[in-house]
Amino acid sequence: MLSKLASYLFCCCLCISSITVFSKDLDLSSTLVWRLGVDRDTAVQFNILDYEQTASLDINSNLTFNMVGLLHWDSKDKLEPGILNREYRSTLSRDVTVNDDLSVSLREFYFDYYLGDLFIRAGKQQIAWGQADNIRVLDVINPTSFSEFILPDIENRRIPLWSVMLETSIKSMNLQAIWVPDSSVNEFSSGVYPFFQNETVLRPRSFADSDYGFKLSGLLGGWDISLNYLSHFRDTPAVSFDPSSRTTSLFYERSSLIGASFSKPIGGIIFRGEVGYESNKSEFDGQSKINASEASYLVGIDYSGKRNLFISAQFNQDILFADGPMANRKDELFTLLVNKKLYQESHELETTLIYDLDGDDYLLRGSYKLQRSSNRVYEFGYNYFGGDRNGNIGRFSNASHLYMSIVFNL
Amino acid sequence: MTIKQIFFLSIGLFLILATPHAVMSVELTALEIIQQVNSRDEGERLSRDMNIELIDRRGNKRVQKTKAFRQYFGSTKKTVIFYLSPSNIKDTAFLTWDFPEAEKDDEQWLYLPAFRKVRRVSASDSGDYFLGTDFTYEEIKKESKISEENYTFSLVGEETVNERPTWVIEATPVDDSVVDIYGFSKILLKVDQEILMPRHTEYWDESGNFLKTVEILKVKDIDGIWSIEEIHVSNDKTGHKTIMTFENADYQTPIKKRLFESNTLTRGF
Repeated sequence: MLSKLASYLFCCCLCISSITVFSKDLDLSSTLVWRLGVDRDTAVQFNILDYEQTASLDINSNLTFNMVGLLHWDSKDKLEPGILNREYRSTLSRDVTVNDDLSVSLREFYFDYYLGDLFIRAGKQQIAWGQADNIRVLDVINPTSFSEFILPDIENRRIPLWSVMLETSIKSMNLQAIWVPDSSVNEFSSGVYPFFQNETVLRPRSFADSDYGFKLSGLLGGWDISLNYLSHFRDTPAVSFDPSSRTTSLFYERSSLIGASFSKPIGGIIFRGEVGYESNKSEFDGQSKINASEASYLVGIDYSGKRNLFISAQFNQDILFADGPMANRKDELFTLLVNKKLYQESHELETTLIYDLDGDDYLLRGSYKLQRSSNRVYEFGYNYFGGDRNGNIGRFSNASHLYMSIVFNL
Repeated sequence: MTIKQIFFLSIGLFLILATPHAVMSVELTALEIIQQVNSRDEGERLSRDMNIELIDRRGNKRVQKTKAFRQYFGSTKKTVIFYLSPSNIKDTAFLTWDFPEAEKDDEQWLYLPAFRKVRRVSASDSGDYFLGTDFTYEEIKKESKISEENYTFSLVGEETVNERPTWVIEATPVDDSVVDIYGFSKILLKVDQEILMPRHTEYWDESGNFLKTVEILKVKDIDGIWSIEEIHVSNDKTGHKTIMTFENADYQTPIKKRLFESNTLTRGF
C-alpha cells in the first residue's frame, strides 16, 4: 500500500516537474484544515486533518494545467467507518487509501486550452450546473459522497470526474458540451447508510456508458438563463426485487434530464430558480420496481441588506410521475440561510436551516468564523439533526455535534 | 489709445492667457472642476495587479492579491477582479458592468469557487463596503471620480496637499435617497489642480459624524494617463485601514473580451 502511495506521489511530482520546465508561470498554494467535532456526550465524533495542495501552470498563452491533491486523515473514522466501498468510483477516480484513517486523492487534474474561441477543459474536474445552493436539480453531472451525510460543503462532497468540457460563444450566448466517460456514482458509507452494506454495486461501465450533455446560457433582457440537456446514468441506484429468489438488487439506470435555470436581480433581491425533468427514475414500493419519471424545481430568493446582511431562502419540490400508490408523490425541501459579516468581513456569523417538509425533520447549522490574518481562519459551530427520527435527516440525530476548525493558508 | 498702450495691453493679455491655472482658478466653478475630474482620461482598457491590505484597529493584517481588468465597451465600463491569494479565497472573481444611464442598474456577478457557480449580485448594494475593504462598491466602480447627478458641489477654497496645489470642494447629496443608498452625508474633496484627481477626500456618515479619509499617496504617469499606485483609507469609526497598491498597470495590451462575460468567470484569466 505504501509503495502504491509512493508511486502515485512520484508520478504526480514527475508530471509537475516536466511540465514546469516548459511553463511560463507556476503557481502553488495549499491549505491545511483541522476539524474537531464532539457529540452531546462530549465524545470526540471526528478529528480530521485535510491538506490540500493546488498547482497551476501557465504552459503558454493558450494552455494551462491545474491540479488539486488532497491528503485526508480522520483519527476517529466514526462517520466513515472502515474503508469506503471503492466500487462506487471508477478505477481512475479512486483515492489511495493507506489505512482506515488516511487517504490520498487527486481531486482535480485538468488542462485548459483555447483553440481560437473554443475553450476545452479536459481531465478530472467538477462541472456544476444550475442556480441552487446545496440542492441538486440540475447539478447532477458529478456524483457526491455521502460518507459524512451532507455535512461537508458541496465543493468537498462533489466527486470530480474524468471528463471533457467544450465551450464556445454563439453571438451573445455560451454553448457548453460535456462528455463524461467516468462512471463513478454517489458514494454511500455503510456506517451512514447500512442498507448499502451488503449490496453489490454494479456501476455503469466507463466509456461504454458515458454521460453527455449540452448547456446553452446567456444574458437576455437582464435575465441569466440556461437551457440544459443531459443524458446520464443517475448516480443513486434504483432497487429491483426478484420474487423468485426474494432478493433485492441495486442497479443504475440511464435517464435524460431536460432543464432550465434563471436568475435576475429585482431591486435589492435576486430571484433565481431552476427546473428539471428526469425521464427515468425507477422506484421500489417494497414489492416491485415502479417505472417513473420525475420533475423537480427550485425557486430561491437572495436578499442583501445593509451592513453585510445576507438572507437566502429556497423551496424545492420533486414530483414523481408514476402509476399506483406512488403517483404524484411530492418531496419538498425548504432551506433558509442568514449570514452577517462584521468588522470588514473579519467576523462572519451564519445560520442554515434545511427542512424536509414531508419528513418533518431538519438540519440546523450555525457557525462563527474569525479571520484576523491572511493565513488563518477559525471557525466554531454546530450541526443539529432534529425532527422525526424516522426521516431522512432526523435519523442522524445522534450525530448532532459541536465543532471547531482552523484553516491554515500556507 | 496709443500704439504703445496697445502693445503693453497685448503683452499683458498674452501673459494672462499663457497661465492657464491662474485663469482656471479664477473662472472654474466647483461643478466644472468635478466635470473635469470625471472627464480625466482613464484609458480605453487597463489591466493591473492590485494588492489589498486590510488592517484592523489592533494592527492585525490581512493581505489579498488580485488581478484586475477594466475595459470600455462603447460607453459601458466592465470591470473584473480575480483573487489570487490567500488560498481560501483564491479564484473568487467579481464582475461588474457599469452602464452610463443613471436609471439603469449595474449588472454584477460573483464567482465563488466553493460552489463552482456564478451568482448574481444585487447592484443596489452600492453603499456597502466592497469585500471587506473600507471602500464602497460605488467607490471601487468610480475609481476616484464622483457622480455629478447625486451631489451638489461648492468650491470651498484652495489648499496644498503633499506639496500639490488643490481645490477644496464640498459635495452634499441632492436628496435623502442618495444618503440612504451611498451612506455619506457630506464629502470633502481636495482635487489636484494639475492632474485633476482628488488627493485627499473626507467622508461624513449618514448621521453627520466624521467617517473616513481617503488619500491617494502615489500617482504615476503611465502612457500619458495619471494612474494611482497607492491609496490609503482610514476609517475613523472602526479604526480599520485599507491600503491598496497597484502594480504593472498596462493600458496598451488588448484584453480578451471573454474576461468580461459572466459565463467565463469560472475559467479564471
